[in-house]
Amino acid sequence: MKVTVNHRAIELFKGARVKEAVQKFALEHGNEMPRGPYVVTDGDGNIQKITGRLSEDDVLFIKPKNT
Amino acid sequence: MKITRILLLATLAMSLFACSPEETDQAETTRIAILHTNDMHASLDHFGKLDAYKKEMEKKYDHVVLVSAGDIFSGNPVVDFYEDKGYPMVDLMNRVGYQASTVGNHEFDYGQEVFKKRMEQANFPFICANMDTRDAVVPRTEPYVVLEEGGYKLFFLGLVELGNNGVPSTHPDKVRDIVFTDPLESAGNYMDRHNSYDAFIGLTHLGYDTDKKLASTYEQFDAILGGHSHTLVDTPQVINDVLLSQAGDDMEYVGKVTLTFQEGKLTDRSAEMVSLANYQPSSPALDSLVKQYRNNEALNRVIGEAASDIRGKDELGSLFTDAQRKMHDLDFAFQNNGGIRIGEIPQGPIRVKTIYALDPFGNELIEYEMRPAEIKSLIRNASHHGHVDLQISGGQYSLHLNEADEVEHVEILDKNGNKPDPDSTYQVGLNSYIASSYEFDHSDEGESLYVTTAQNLIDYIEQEGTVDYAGVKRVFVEHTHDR
Repeated sequence: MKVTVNHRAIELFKGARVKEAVQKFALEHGNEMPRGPYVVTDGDGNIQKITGRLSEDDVLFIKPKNT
Repeated sequence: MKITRILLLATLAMSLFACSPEETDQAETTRIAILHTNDMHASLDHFGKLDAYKKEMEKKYDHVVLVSAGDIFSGNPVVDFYEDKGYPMVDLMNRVGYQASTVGNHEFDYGQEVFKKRMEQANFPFICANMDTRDAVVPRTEPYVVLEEGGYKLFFLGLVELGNNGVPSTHPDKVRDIVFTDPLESAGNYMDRHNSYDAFIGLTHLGYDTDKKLASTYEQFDAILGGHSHTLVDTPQVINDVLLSQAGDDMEYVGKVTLTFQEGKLTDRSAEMVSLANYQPSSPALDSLVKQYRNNEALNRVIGEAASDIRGKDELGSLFTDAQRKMHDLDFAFQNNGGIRIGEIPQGPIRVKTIYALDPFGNELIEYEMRPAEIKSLIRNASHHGHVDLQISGGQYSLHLNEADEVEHVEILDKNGNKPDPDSTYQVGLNSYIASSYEFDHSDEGESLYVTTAQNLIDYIEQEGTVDYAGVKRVFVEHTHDR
């Protein structure tokens, strides 16, 4: 299943959660991970908890926590 | 009944402002606060705080309603291994006064028999409009509930998400004989009723993106209170004149939607997200009950016996991977050494809490269909400088290293000692951390089996009764240049 993280397409197994999307993004685009604490939001800016289950074509953003 | 003006109150800083109209209440105005949580996942710790907040709201509002948008169970061993699985959640929800809960996908995790018992013990209905249980163990659920508060009829429609396989995200065995229908289509069957009620609300477990589609499709909703994606909607959103809200997870927040009725009509809707962090538990009795549940003796429950000490990565990793392979009829399974968090399981009784110490990360088991070359790519990439990282079940493997300690080739043998057929595919189990954090070739995208590796270990040890891994070793390193 494909999701988009910080505008990057990420391939994940079916039934993956937000935390797996972050792990995969860090694996493939580690230099683009925020340094220090971060939050994950959906495309509308709502915070996504790491245990949230993802669906095909979901959009996520990993952002530094205090911005 | 739709209103033209939506008052959106977003931040905690604005919460006082949100409550100020109560002080100037007029006789013809009725304000109803709908408090909603979702994805509690067996979190007990904040029930006292939620109760305190609810009591505070009861002083400020004419009426207060408390509802859940699903996934009340699964995720906390204290609750998951209570003698009556999940009962502490139902007990606490009864005490705090929940009035309805949507069926979430994790409501099925303990099995239908258990869910049936919990439904019978709940003082509130579980609702779901896209689920037909007539041939299943789970009793019939109502598609909706109507709560009457101050003479106003509040309609709540329950909907649960479906995965690609047409059932909610749980193991398919858990929802056997239950027929699910598309939630958006199912919702359409109820839209002609919206004028019969004073407020028309979706209480959904669909995920935020699907909630947006639901709102776009059906303007009849006054509000959709959602769950499943664990989204914290701290900036209230309106789509198609439908107010959307979702309160994160684990009861760290409670959502509050305020409905204002004037002269019999709904004239205002507002939403805010309230952190429970700063509330003190409401009563010593409730707090004491939470502590009692938290100290659950069930974690000391013996699930099986170790015939001898199970020591080190080889032995513990073999236990880990056997559990994955054998419980799900896989050909091979792999476990990373870094995910094995204790050094040994001593000979004697094995308790639930030992498994959570061994495997504390909440990883899930993922199944892939892989060819031997793909399996070798996984092993090779995981074995930096000849360092063994993966344990195996279903056979054994050898790393052949060159003089620079780089992996020259990988040799796999199946459980019968034969080389796997290079043109065949094999069912392979990996934990979700390996699946998302390791580089390996795979043409199959993989699929979660919706069971944590810890739960899987417990199930396996319970099934086996006694486990013996003394001296088990399945991974070997050979230096080619020594030959």
